[in-house]
Amino acid sequence: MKSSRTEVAAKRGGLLGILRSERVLPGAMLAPAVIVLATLTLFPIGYVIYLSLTDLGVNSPDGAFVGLDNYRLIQSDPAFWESLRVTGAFTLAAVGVEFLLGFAIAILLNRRLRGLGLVRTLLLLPMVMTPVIVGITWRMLYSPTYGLVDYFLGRLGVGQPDWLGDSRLALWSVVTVDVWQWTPFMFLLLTAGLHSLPSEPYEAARVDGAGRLATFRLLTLPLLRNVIIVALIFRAIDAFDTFDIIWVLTNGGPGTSTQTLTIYSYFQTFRWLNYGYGAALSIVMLLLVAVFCVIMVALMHREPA
Amino acid sequence: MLKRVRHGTAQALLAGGLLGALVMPAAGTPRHARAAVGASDLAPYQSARINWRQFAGQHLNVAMTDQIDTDALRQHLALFTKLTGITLNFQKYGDVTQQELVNLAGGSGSIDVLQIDSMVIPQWVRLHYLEPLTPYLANRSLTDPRWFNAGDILPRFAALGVENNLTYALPEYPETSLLFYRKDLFARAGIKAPPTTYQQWAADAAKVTNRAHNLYGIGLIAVKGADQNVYRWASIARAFGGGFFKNFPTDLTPILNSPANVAATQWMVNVLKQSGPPGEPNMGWNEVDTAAAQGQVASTLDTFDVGPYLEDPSASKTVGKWGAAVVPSGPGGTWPSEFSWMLGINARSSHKGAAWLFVQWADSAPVMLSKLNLTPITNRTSLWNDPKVLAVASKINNGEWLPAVRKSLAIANPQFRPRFPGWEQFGDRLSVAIQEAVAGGQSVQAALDSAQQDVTQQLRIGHYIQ
Repeated sequence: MKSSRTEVAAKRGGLLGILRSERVLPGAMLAPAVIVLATLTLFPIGYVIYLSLTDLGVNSPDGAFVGLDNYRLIQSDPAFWESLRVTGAFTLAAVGVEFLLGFAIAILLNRRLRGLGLVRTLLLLPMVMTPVIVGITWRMLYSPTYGLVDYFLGRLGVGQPDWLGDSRLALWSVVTVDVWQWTPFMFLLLTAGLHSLPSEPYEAARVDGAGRLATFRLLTLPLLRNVIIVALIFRAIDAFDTFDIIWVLTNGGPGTSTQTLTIYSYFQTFRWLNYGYGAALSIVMLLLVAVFCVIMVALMHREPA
Repeated sequence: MLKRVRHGTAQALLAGGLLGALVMPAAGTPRHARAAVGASDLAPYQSARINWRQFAGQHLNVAMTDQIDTDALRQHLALFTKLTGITLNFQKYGDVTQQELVNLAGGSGSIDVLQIDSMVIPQWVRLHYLEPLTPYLANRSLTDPRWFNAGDILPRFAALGVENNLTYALPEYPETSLLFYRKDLFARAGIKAPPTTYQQWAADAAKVTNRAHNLYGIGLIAVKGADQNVYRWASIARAFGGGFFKNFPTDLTPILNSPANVAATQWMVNVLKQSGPPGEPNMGWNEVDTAAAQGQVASTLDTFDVGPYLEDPSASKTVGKWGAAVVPSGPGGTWPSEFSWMLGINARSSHKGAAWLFVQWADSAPVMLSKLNLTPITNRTSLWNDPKVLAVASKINNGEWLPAVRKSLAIANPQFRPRFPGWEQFGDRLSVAIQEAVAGGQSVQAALDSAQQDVTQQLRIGHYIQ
């Protein structure tokens, strides 16, 4: 019957009447946002999908339609698989350590003590720094000639490794920088989660004589489950897409030891000018992130056992 | 290839270079651009028989790389505007190629005048990004051939802008490479002359090295990049008799793992291990030149603009201690590099006539001479014999720079690195192998074998080989 009401409203009030009708008004209110979203998000994604189905690039300036050829090439591209492995290792290591450290600090500081506000603020400082500046600072710290890290290690009589120049160490050196910058994010989210927990279950647990460990395992962790999942999703997506810190620190080297998918995709698209192939790589990355998010969100909605 | 920043401390250089890698545009209109321009300043340009004001009122966007030459040109932008009535938005970028590519790939004509890495010209021509300049050079209403005298531009470098018999860009800041060495330290070690072979260089570097005093006999760019380690490796590999292809440009079968290339790369790995500073695998031009200027590195092979940089008291602690020589030789000959920053016009620019006037002006002999206060490097054959240029150039590196530059310019080869549309991908893959070998992640043979396999696949996909 809504359509007839719209018609009646239209007859009574003309255009204004139509806009005020229940059926049209929500759509009209949402339209600007949808238009902006479509322009800024959907169109570029659609264009990248289209590009990924062409061979546009330096070898084919006019870009012929090649269907799924770029995706087949990706399957047999050893550099893609190597970059995926590096990306996976970087994401897992960085997010894992950030979560454990962030959680530990959040629990440690989840109490009422004088001066804690200042400590929390100081802890958040790395997060507000521009990643490029973080990269430059750490590059200087890691420098084997004038870096502080090797200087102090030397004073302690420990070896002075080439943190960014040694293929075996470079990835972990980059992970360390990411951990330094983004642990505060985990700390922030988990602190907010801890503050939002209800006090009643804890009081009940105390009455029941539950120990600290049991309280943490049986109360805190289950109650924080959704906050933890959201924090992991945010950080994992961000770590998966990291470009700036790695680029500044190592350019993806030595060799390809820190070449993540974003850096490989950058090389393909903006240095080697294989636009079609680079677009296909971006779509594959998008799909990988989407699958991860779907799994994590499903996990969030699943009832705890 | 270098983006030479002349002033500042080691940290500032490092920070500047790295910021540059992320394409930080420099400040907008320069202070110099507002300086008063007198009639006498315009005289050298008004002798050209063209109407400089035919595009008056138009506005140009110009993108250039962050280097001393760009600063030198910025001093005279007000003169160009006064001469032509064309206003300029002149921006310099740490990575101008990246900035331009984002613009060009999006089909934008917003950057009218492009400063171009000569190695990407074949790529950009194939992708229709560049306007051919040949018609502009031939148009008498736009170019006075006697005044501009295109034939005076260093011919080997002018060849870098030619594709399919059409000129697409003109050299504005040419480069060749030299060997730089600390005269004082070499003399103290009993070495009487700069090395002329790579074996001799390795022996000399070992003699000079004193790790206890943080002094290293040699520093070479080892960080990956077709424009980084490969740029210097090519001089070494070609001297050892190696190279890139079987017979470029007729046969693009790669020969990256040839015995000569393996020997050249092994020389590099050994000499850096024995006499190079720590952190070599990640050292780019900025780090190597800074280490040289700060007195940690006693010799290097780099582009000739390093010579004036090492003598700049605001950047160098080793002023007056450097000598320069032609790069060492080997069984394959002597191979100084050849590269140039070129000026060209965006094919999608809507102000191509005005853009051409800027290119013509910026590449002209009077502008080259007017930059002398900051750099003696010029694109003109005649100016390398001009008394004003000689007065500046002959003092650099204890007087050894100019003769070495002249010899190098005479023998530099436009195909020092093969210029073809697939170069960037090819060169980058090779650079990964060189860096891996220097870092010790793989043996030289294994790294080059792997690169050979990958580039063969790339060249097949690009239809360069069957």
